[in-house]
Amino acid sequence: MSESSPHLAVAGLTVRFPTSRRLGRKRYLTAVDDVSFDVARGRTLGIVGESGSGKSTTALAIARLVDAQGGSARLDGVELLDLTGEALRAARRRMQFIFQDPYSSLNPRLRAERIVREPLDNLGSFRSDVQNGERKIDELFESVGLRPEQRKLFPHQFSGGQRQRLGIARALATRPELVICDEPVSALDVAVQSQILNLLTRLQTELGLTYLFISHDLGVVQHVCDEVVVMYMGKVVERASRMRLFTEPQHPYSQALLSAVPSVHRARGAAARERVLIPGDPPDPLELPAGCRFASRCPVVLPECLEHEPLLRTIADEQSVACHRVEPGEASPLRRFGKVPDAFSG
Amino acid sequence: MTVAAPLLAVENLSVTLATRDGVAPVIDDLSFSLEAGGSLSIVGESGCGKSMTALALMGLLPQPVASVASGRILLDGEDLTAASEERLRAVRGNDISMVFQEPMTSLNPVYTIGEQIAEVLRRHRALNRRAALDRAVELLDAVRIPDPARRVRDYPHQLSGGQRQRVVIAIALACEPRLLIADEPTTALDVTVQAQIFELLADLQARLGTAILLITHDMGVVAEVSTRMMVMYAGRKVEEGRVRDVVDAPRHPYTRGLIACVPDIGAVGKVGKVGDAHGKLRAPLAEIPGIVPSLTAFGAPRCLFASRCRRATQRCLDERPAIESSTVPGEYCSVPDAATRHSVACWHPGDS
Repeated sequence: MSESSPHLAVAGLTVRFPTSRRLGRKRYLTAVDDVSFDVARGRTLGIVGESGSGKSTTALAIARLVDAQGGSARLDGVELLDLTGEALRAARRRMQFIFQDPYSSLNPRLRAERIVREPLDNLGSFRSDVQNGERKIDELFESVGLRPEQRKLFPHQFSGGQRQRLGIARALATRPELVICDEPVSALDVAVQSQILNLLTRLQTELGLTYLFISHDLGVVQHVCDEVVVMYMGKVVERASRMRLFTEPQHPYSQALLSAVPSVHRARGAAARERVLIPGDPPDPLELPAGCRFASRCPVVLPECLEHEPLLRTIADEQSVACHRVEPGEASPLRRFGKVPDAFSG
Repeated sequence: MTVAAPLLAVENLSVTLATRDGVAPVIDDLSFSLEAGGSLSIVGESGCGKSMTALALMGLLPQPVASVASGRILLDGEDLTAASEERLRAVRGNDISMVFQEPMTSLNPVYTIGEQIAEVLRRHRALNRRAALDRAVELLDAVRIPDPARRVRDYPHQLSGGQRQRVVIAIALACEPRLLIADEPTTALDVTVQAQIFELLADLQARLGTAILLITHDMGVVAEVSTRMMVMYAGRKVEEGRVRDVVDAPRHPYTRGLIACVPDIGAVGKVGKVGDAHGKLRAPLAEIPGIVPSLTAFGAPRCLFASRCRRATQRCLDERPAIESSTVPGEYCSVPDAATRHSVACWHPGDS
């Protein structure tokens, strides 16, 4: 496995949903628009963005849980988007999903062991090798911090954190290489959240997993991810290493998003409360503007931003940005034009 | 009114919940106060009793399952636990209002937002329909809804999540209440919208002198929004003080855990530079082991956090810790003791 070939390579991924409109005209909502990124084996790529940014749809399309209309997603060189039948089943074994809500993602009528066993039944070898299968389930329970005695319980007999552990055990059952985590801790209390995040980190080290980590919580993303993609209205606006994004965000949206996160530590100093406020709401996804999608809320917008859509370009090592106002080698546009209070400087 | 009387004083409040396994005190001997125009946050995990506290203040406890067992809720000296339902109706929406978590479900989908704001004014201020609607337009403008004269005729589904929450805030502030209870007002919203809402609340608080009681699970929000905070665990107050004192030097092990277990967005600059080229050297997050006790354990005469606490001793299992207060010397000698009081309910409190 050479360093140069990424484990997961996504290029030009596009997902559209048909929406019916009056007068029988069919229209499409483009939820994911020309999204590209790579993830190296054993690393974690975070996708952040607000609701409606297309981050979950991106994950679902890669997992083949919604259909993509264009682009490619290759896992170890295998094109996932073209797979059908048995080949798709084989690929699902290598790629599993952890869902946001540990309440609705577990079948309430199945015992815990059946939930964890299901992927083995459907994709693996449980039926042909029952004894090994039984041992495997014990191992899975143990690896996520559940006790084998809890195998016979039903989901409602577990706490929220334990349910999410069950969801993780289920995802690990087929020994996947890629695990897509869609907001895995958003529904959990903070004390439990840290337990699950530490578990995910430990499992990654032990099993060499590659994570695609979807979250709206930038604190969590900062903690677990190596690289981060920021999405806005279906587009990637910035792609950078964790270090670059959190210390020198360039896109005005990334910077505003980072500054909007309330932080216990930042608040220790009255001046640090200053933040970049971006006014208004995102545009209607059915009536996307011609130019930059962030233009309507951008503090440093120019006339050209309204006409030409900015393309993602590399501006530094490990950092690409889609913004007309970003200049390679210079401070971010918001900082250059005095839109960021000095107190917030990373 | 005497000089020092707070706007809201909760004294030894206990609320019990009738469950299948018996009666459980979901709020257990809770006392706190809030000055006029002040701001206090209640923090804790789900099930710690913070929302029940809000419902008790509003007189909206789900009867007959939950009821006030003892204690008093004094609003300007008037005991709300003893007030008649009629009197409570006059207080709610007028003196105390509430903003709920989910702006989607707290608005009525079949009335326009203007009608919903006007309803409060007609009920409490006896305005006629015309005058109430005019006032609704002004209120929408005050919460920064663009083009209020036209939007006043919109239905809730025509607004974005952030705009809906602004409408809920407009309804809550229609009668210029002296106390606004905000129960996780931004949990359902995106962070950039959350920042707008808190900015709006701070602005309205400064202009109207409304006291704000904020209920949240997000320590970051507390740190940036409130001046005082109270941490609850299993229906009890475990720590209370000025936000900066509590955040800088938490004295209860639970508070310390709550602050330490949140991955902080500001951590990159500090931790990240230490050989982080390939990522994996980040220290694991602090964990609070275990989970919150079940309702059946509530009210037991011991420290309910003991099973998750590294400092727990036999005493913690035998005796309920009393609340002990200390005061931090203020920068100005005129600062009254109450403003800097830092209380903790722990047998082994400490700074590290």
